[in-house]
Amino acid sequence: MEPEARQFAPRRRDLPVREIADEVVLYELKTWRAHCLNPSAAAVWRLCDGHRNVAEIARSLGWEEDLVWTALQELNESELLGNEVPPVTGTYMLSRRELVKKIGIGASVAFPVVNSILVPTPSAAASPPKHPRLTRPRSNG
Amino acid sequence: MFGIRIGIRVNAREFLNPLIKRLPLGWEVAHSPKVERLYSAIFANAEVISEQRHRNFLFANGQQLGSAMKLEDLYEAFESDLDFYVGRASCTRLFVHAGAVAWKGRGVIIPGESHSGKTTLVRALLEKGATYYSDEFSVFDSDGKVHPFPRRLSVRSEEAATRIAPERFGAQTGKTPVAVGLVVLTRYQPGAQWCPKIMSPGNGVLGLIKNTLAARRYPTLALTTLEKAICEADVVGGTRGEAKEIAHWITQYLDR
Repeated sequence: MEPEARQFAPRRRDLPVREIADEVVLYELKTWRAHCLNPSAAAVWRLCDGHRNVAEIARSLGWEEDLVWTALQELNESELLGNEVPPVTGTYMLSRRELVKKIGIGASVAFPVVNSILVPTPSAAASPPKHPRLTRPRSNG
Repeated sequence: MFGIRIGIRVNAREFLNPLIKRLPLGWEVAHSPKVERLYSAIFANAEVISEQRHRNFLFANGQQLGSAMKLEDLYEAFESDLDFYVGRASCTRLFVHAGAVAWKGRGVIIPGESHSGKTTLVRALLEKGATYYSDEFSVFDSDGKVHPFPRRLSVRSEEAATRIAPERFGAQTGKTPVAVGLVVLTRYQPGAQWCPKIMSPGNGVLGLIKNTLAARRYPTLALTTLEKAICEADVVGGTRGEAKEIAHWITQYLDR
């Protein structure tokens, strides 16, 4: 299938999701990762329903296809899509500056960004109690 | 407290009150004998001379946490272990490893790992007149409001950490929950200049999740609570230098 004809869908549909202002926060329970999709990335994410190809997503948003591909690549790098985003000649190798210059992203559309973190264990979130003046019992072995 | 039942047993009644005084605000007597965590403290018999008999022992659910000669060390150990347990086990409140103060009725939340400078910044804000909520855990309810969780501030010097009551800084302790007005995602770096960036609410939620004790155990609770907490708050981030500079900035920002 030609890259342009591919349709994209989320890797999982049952993730806890929160819409916060124009952003989307996702929580992957199996990998313990949380992601924040900025408004541009979130806009493409919402249209990745497995039925729309890039051209259709671009048309829905009123964007250039290059920008949609960039968003898909961001989502792909965060492993949020169910199918791989193929490298698209002309866009894949462009730097962010070159892309902005090419498609003229202005104040109305931000560069698509996905920020991700590893959700911490309790010990990682807050240091477990340490009592330097408390003598710990000796461990066996 | 916070949906958790704990038990305390001691080998001499006179040692019960000092432990009870270490319980968090809002605790109540439970009438059920079933508890999730049972602390047992065995205090030394002062009449017996050998060193071993002068040690005081602390157990939790039958496992020895440690022993100490000084009573104060044992009380501290009890308090620390209790806070960490409640923080990760509570399903009625969300504990975030963060300092919290209130400035003119609006909560300021300062998440961060240990040694990131939370207590120093909390102290600087108290010295400016902020109301003390916590220097260790911001405790959120289901409406996203932060509740007081006052402990003595743990002030570190080169040698050791010292516990200091907030009143020593002229500060009052909060009595009621407060909505969050500002989340400050920062870390101390010597010589750094505070150049804050406004961050998005979504990234504010990520910054809080990163410091939430029960984020894996109660993921939906975490997301829902933090979404509500952030809804009326601004989020700023950046590396900071001296605490007084950023404390001044925070109060000016909230007063604008």
